[in-house]
Amino acid sequence: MSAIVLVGLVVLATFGLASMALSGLLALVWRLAARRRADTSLDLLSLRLLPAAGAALLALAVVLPAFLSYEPPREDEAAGPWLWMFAAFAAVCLAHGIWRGARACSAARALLGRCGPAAPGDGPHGHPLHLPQAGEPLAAVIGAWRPRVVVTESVRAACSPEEFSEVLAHEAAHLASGDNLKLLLLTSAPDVLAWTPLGADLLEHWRNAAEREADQRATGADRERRLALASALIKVARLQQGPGEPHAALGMPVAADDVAGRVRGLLAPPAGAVRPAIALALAVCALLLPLIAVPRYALLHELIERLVALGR
Amino acid sequence: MLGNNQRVSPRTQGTVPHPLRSRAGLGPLEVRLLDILWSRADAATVGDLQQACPALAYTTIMTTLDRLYRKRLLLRQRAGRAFAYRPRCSRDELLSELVSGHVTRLLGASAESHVVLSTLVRAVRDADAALLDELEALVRAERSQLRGRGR
Repeated sequence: MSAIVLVGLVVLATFGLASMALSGLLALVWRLAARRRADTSLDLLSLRLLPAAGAALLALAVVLPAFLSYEPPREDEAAGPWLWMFAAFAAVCLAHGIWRGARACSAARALLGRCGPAAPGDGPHGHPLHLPQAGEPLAAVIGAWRPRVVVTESVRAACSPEEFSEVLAHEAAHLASGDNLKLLLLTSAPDVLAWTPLGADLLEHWRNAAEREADQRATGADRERRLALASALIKVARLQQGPGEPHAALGMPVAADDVAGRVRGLLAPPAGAVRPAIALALAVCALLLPLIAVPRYALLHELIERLVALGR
Repeated sequence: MLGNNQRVSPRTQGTVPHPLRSRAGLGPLEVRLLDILWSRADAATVGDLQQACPALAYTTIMTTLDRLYRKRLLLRQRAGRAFAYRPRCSRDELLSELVSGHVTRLLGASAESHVVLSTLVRAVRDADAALLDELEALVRAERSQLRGRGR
């Protein structure tokens, strides 16, 4: 087996193994403490991306340099079946992540295509605004790379000018914080969590936190504006209930309690800024890990060799 | 009955409403007959429509109307030995319904595929009108309190 193929297999296998281990660790930590402590969307984003990003960091910034530093140049080393299996698992995770991301982008493009032409400059901060006539009540930012604001006529008709302005400010807050790009990252994270209820749970928590933060950024401490947005939320929720069935098709359904939580949050005095403690801690770990690993390259290489030979 | 002035001009016949054809998947003849029915105030029989489109065979019109009826785009009622047809909804309502249907289907698919979409309010699962009433009352009370302080 050529050295370059072996290096590729080692990196992939390490990614697969680390991703599995970190997913298990995250499941445990989430159940024990993080569920209650992760308040900000950045905390939730970093937790959800931990298995894939942590595994990539470990494979590329720790294992790869350790392996390259200590591996003698030879062409005759054969990989054991376990290395192949872990590498194949990682490849499946990566491919499925890319596929999920591509599918989400394609669905967004198709949805925008159906929303008709945009009115240039009418949206928040001069962004184009789509105002489709469709009966489905929708106020949203659609797309990751070139996100567009879409507000259906039914929502505009239901809201007063002040409320509509706050709806646009809320969507502008999503645009400014790049929430759809983050959503794309969460959707396409290549790990086993994507196939488990915990992945969906984390995504749901992140969505709710992102909505609450967009409410806060849109209105600031201005009570009039907070009331206008609260009123708009109630009106859009009512539109979505409609005369019959609730529109379960509009994204993932949420309980009315969540709308209630956001409205009550807007009625209460604005909370102070919460520091994303978990995200900061993970960022520090990510910076330190490659540095801490340097003196242990010999031990790491030994472990990698055992992995390569496993089952051979 | 259609008068001469109600006959469909060749220009109108050639004007195929693009959104309807592409969105509802209707054929040119179906769109043409729908257009005639929308332009009328009352229901029309196959005979009435044949006067507006003399180039079309009676049976062709009858088959096309039956197809539109099966697609739930027309309503029909007995008028002697024949059926009289009228559109189930206006052209604008149909277009709106079609766009809405597309959006619903796409968003329905998105629930699984996580379309890159941040919505103001996602679909409310519990049809809890009482809770929304309560929230609205809270907003109103807060507003009047704010205005009271402003005076």
